[in-house]
Amino acid sequence: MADRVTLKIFDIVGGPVWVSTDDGQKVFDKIVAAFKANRAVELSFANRENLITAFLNAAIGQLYGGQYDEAFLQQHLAFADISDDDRAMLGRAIENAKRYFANQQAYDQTWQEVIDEDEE
Amino acid sequence: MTGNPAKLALGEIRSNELGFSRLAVLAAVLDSYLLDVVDVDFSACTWFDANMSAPLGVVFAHALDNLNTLKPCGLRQGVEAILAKNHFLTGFGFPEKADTHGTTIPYQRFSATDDRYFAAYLNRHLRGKDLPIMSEALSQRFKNSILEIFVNAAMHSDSKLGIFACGQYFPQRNRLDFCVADAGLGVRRKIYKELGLKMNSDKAIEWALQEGNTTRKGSVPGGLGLKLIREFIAMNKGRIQIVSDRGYWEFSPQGETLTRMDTSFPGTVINIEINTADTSSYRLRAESKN
Repeated sequence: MADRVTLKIFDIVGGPVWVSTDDGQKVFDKIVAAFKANRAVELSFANRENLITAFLNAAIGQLYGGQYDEAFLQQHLAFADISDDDRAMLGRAIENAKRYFANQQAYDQTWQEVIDEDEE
Repeated sequence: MTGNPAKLALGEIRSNELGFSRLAVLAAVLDSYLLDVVDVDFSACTWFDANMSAPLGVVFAHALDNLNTLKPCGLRQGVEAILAKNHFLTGFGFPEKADTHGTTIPYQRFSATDDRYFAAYLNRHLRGKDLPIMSEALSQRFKNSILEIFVNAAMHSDSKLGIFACGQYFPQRNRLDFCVADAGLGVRRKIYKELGLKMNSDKAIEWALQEGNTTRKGSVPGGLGLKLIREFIAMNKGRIQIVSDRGYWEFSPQGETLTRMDTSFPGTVINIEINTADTSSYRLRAESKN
């Protein structure tokens, strides 16, 4: 088992407001850097004021894009200091990410052009 | 530029299709002015839902961006009070009015990079002693929904004129409305720009509401925020409206409406209305089946 490092979202983002994709990207980058250094990550949600899925999609959701398999993530990524509501939101973001990456092409192809002469 | 100021009239504005249509018509007429002085006559406006100040802000911002001078005039006492309390009129030389009933979340304009500032604005005003006493869970879900809408607008709208927000509590009806409006491309043009798909405005809103659909490119998944908001609004028996270009969508306990307005609104607006008397627990479900 890899040594574990604790990453605090509060410290990475520099505050308690966790809403933007850019800030989520900063967290993602730190997690990936730790994985590259053969460390497991415990991600701390302590001191959060605001948290939304747009942030989680970037911070956590994109880990499911194929670079790491689910077994690896289960072994190497744990969450701490997280409320039940935030854990449920995180769960939804992870499920959404898995579905998104599994169906990315299908999502794009389902919709055809729908236009009539009323709008150019 | 003409010698006398041009005069445009605005009727009653409520948070409904007619209200949005009237603002779209005002925007279309204002669009023909450049370097002009325009009187916007409110004398036929007997009511103005304060949260609709956000889309009105978009309409005015476009006109001001065309170097026009706008002069709101003919305001009835009640309407002036509403728009002075929420600070909309402050930029037009009207004095501010104290919000003695504490029912207003003030009108404010943000830039797309203001996400932390916007969160601070929400945290401050939704925590106020005067706004309805909602359960912590309801307040949290409401706040998260608005933040998702703001971040989506910041990310997708390409709005150079900013993002406009305003809220209002209606105590008699136990309703709290909050509106976020941008002056950007609109969903239809954004889909065409990013994905090359041509769609009508109404169809474009439908597309954006589908799980997994996003114009975002790259490795970050999207398409969850609106789904969670819709789940929340359904549970709360509230209402959500989206206006973009000519598209109009509304979802409430009365049903779902998707239609096309006659006139294009110059941006995208999302209005959410919650039932503040609701005491549901608001735990997020692990994963819905659909």
